[in-house]
Amino acid sequence: MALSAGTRSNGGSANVAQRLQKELMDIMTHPTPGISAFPVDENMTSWAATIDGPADTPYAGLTFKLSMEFATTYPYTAPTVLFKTPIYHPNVDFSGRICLDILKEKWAATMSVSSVLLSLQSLLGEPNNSSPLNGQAAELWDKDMVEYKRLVIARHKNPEELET
Amino acid sequence: MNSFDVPDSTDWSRTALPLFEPLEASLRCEVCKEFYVNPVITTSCSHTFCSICIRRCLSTDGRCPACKTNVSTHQLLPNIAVRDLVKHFEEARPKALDLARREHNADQPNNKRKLDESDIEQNDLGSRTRLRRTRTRIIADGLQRDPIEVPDSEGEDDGAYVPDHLPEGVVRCPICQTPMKEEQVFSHLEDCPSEVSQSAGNGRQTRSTTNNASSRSTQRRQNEPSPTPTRLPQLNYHLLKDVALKKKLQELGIPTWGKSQLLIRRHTEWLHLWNSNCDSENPRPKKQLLQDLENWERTSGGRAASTESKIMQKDFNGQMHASVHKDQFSALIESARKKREAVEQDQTQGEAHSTTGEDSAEQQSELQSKPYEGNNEALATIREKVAAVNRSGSTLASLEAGATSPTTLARTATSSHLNPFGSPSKIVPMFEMPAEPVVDAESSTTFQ
Ligand SMILES: [Zn+2]
Ligand SMILES: [Zn+2]
Ligand SMILES: [Zn+2]
Repeated sequence: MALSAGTRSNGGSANVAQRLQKELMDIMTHPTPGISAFPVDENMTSWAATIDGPADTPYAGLTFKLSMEFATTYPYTAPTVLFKTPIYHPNVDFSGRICLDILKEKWAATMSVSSVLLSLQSLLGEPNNSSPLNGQAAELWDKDMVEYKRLVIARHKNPEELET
Repeated sequence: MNSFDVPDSTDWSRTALPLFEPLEASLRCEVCKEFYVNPVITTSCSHTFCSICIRRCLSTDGRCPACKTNVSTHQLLPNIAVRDLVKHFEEARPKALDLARREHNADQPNNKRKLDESDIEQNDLGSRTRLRRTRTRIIADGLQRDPIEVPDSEGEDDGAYVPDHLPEGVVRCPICQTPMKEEQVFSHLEDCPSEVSQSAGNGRQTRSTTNNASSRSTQRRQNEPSPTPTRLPQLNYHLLKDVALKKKLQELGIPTWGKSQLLIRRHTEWLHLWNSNCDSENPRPKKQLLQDLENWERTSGGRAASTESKIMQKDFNGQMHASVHKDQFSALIESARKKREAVEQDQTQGEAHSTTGEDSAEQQSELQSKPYEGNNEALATIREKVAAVNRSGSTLASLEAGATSPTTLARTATSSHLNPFGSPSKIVPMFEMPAEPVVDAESSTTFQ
């Protein structure tokens, strides 16, 4: 007979690794095109991810690498996500830090690695220009898309070109 | 059962019952992804979570994590139907999954040899015939023992019943008739799902057997009565001095060491544990809750390893990782690479990918967006890995013994300077008070 729910406990020790493992299984069995994610450490608290730039945006055809760090409080707190591939974008600074509401005050415990990556992917095509980290990018997005795109491509490096 | 078998709903995806995947997923909590434990429904927005999961969310921001509706802990009611569904689904799961896997494997000509040696007769009739014979046989066996009928895809029975003879060294469990290696029988007998299997195609009987089983266990539990505990009220920490808070903790019988932030977090977690236990059909004794609190102390509380320094040491592209974790991951990466090659062959005329660094030593560039589909080897490796982590108790204890490169340190120092958000890599305590004033969930007074 299966373990009775009354004796099974996720109290106190609700395990971050267990939850992340289930997310990984889900990503592996139902991959989303344009998105990948994989743990890089044995405890699964640190992941590497990629997103492909959406079509019809200045990022089309480019792939961006990200890092995701999960605290022991995950999923009650958001993962820490950074762009590792240099990216020219109004809501990302030059160190790869991201300003996105769901990674801060709008985070919810039902969100996941996939939902974060999908949100980031759509952020590429729909920047929030009202509170930019990169003011120049926000301005160019509205005024000079040709120059914007040139800077996007100039700043982008393919993952294999990245050195540690 | 394998020690590294960590079940999840994707277990169904490559079986004869793929629709059981969403079924099982709907019996799992959206927060912890486990089967619901003490499920409660929010009366304001009708979402269901484990009691402890929603209570933790509410301590964090006072909102339902699914729809962001404001929810108070008074608006949680045990969801009894879901509780029973989970219980019975979990009971039915091992047998159902086993059957669904066997049926699926029998459908795959490539896997057939491994699955059923006895059925391999080198015949010249082609794989289609062999496949059909395998199916027929399994169906025939199934009808003998199991309440599951698998209709043949062509709706005919050609009578090709193959007599039941098992390969050398393989016997059937005397109770449930599952074929297995001789040496496995004794260990199998210990958890043989005998009652369900013997019901021999009679649905009603199966059901009553299950009912008997559960009422038996209910009786057993009722023989060890534990008084239903009453829910503890939230405290207005803002108004409590350290001394008073310590006294409260002492009264509750939980540890009183640590600074006031830790005392608050510990008390909050105790409320989660205690109050979610009140939503249980069979509340657990306080002793067990104290053990849970001790686990919390190790993973997230006062005895947790300093997560911050570990995370900051870590470097996404770092050679440190590559070397330290190479062994654990080499098998996984190997399978992923193989799979990717297969995928790439499939997609030769597909769109060009911008990342293909064949020679790159980095893990990530080895991984295209779909490297794992159907990669059971990789899945097994991950399960094993996670099980090892679970066994080790603390999620962080075994992580990274030192090994900090100067580069990493330098980078860390720089990034904390440039950080425009304060400190994103700083770990927020799990139940830190929200920055915005929120309604005190239990007492409806506000605190800062
Ligand atoms: Zn849960
Ligand atoms: Zn809701
Ligand atoms: Zn048996």
